[in-house]
Amino acid sequence: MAGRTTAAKRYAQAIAAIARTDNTWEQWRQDLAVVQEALQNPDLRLTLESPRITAERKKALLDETLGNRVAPATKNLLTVIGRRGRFNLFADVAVWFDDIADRALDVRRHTVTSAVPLTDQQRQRLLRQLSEDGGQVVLSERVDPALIGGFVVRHEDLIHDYSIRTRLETLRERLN
Amino acid sequence: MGIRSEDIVRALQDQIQNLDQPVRTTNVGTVIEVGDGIARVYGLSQAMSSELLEFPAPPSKPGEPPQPPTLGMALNLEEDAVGAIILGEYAHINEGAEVRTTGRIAQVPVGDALLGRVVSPVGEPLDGKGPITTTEFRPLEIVAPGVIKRQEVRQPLQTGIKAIDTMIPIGRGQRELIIGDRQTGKTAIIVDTIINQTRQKTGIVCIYVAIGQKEAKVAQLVRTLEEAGAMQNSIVVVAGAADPAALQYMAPYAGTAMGEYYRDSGRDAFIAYDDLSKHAWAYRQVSLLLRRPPGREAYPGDVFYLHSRLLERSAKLSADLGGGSLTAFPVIETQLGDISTYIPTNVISITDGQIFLVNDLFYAGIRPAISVGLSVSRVGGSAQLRPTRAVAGRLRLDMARFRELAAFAQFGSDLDRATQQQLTRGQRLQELLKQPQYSPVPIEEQILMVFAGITGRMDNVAVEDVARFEREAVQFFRTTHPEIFERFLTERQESTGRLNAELEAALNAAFDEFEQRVWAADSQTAAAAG
Repeated sequence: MAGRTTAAKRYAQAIAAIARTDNTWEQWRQDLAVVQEALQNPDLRLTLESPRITAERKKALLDETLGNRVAPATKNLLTVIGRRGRFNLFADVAVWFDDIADRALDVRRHTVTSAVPLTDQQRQRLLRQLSEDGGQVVLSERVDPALIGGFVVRHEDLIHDYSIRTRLETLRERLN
Repeated sequence: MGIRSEDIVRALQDQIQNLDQPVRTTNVGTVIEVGDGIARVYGLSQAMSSELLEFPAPPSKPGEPPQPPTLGMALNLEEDAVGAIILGEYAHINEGAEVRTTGRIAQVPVGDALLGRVVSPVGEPLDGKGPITTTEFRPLEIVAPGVIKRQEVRQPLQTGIKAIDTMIPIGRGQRELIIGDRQTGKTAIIVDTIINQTRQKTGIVCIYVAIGQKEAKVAQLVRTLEEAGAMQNSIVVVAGAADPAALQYMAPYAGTAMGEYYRDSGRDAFIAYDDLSKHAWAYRQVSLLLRRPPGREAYPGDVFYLHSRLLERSAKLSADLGGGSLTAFPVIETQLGDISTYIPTNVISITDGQIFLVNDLFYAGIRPAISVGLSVSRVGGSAQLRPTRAVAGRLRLDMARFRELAAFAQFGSDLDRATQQQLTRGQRLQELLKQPQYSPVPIEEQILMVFAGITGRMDNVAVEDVARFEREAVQFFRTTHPEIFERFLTERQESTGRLNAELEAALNAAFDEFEQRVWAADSQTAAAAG
């Protein structure tokens, strides 16, 4: 699970500031994804996190691995992170950056969990309702039969619970 | 407890009618760090300070109903995360677990249903006597009543302990610190005070808050109270030594909330915090784990406020608000009699006086081991009954002179008559102030005996006969002169620092009668028998 380290947040804020001036949000997002993918390789990862390998050596290694797939600014970020021995924070930086980018671009990510898959009509209605507050709504869907009926919408740390399960639970609490 | 069918129907009806509304909007977060009774939770952007949080429930055993969710309390509201204390077991909470807000500020059940019960700081029963059903809840933290809502302390709270009621009087609404080393009788004073409320039928509800104590000691105390019949108007709040520091931190606030219910409904309550040094330790632990900066002796910066806001809630309310009161006896345990360390000095400065218990006195057989010189009550004097105040002034003075002379007299035997006389008087007074445990003395008997002591009626009684003299005198007055006891309790004359002349004459006449008719005869039989 991606962590939420405060140190990583500072890096994310720094690159977000660059993205804001250059309007390169999507570029950064892609680059971070590319680097993340490259870091899936355990050998590369361990080498980069190892304190016994010099910064120059790491830089060379990254150049070789990433080639021209990322922007020069991203390489600079990696160099800075590498110089400070913070490669273990990289996943967290990406998580924070996504958050900041969403807020800057006014993208609102909602997760809807329903007992049965949504029909097209239901999806349209839900999107319409959620878009009322403005912003670009992105909906990701999940199915969880344990809800019994109804659905649960989550946006950041707010949950609107319209599920039958929760209603039954409330009923049980009241009866106790 | 059965559920009536109409209740179910009504609840269902209610539920069906409310079906159109979104049932619940909650704020959620994810645990990023957990351990030592503390959790850091990412998210929860709308959590309030000291709001209750719901952590996942502990796994239920097969065949048993699911357990209720584990509760926590938000203490640190940070930029992206919330630092929370977990109230109870936390072994089943993992990194990544979901946490929800409840919208409720930490609260405890209050009311008469708690009387006679032993409860945890969250109000759950610990005595196996079944569930506690109350309708009223009160938040743990309330701002103490302000100046307008109070009045001065004016009614006495009798502890039944001679040395306290006469020389260090306590008024209802007062905060009196009990301070001393371990094993000097701090808890004994509290137990006697609770027992005295039942014996004298004062109607004062007593709350005993045990913080970080051995469970065995608390069990013993509860048994003592039960045997004395005092449990029926008492509540015992326990956060034992094995309970998480978070619960120990909450315990005094929970007890105070229960006491405030009585204070605010115009009744009188008494609360003892046993003890606040352990409370400060628990708070230090919680604070350090929450990464709050440490200060002196590693206590956090707000350790003074921790106790001052707690003790400020003990008050005597104004007549408009019903005139209820909450009297507090915080306890502080000192190390080697040192009262000048951080926490003791803090609490001394917050309270309205202190009762200082001393090891040396305790082992010299002077029990309760109250150091008369170092103990004070800054407000209780005005609450004393008039006759008590009249006799107690002389008592303090005589005892002070006695202590001074006793130290001095050890060096030589060549003492003048006046000095010897004062020593004789002092020895008898000291003997008179001794008192066995669990035997509180009614105030009228205290006044009578102190009067006998300071007027020299016991100067000719041998020191070992003082207890017998007391017993017989009290019995004589109870049977032959009950009107004098009655007058002690009803005397309203403005104090001139002296007893009403007429009352004094009546007392002297009655004592003369006692000495001639009872004491002289008894002493003869005693001497003949000896």
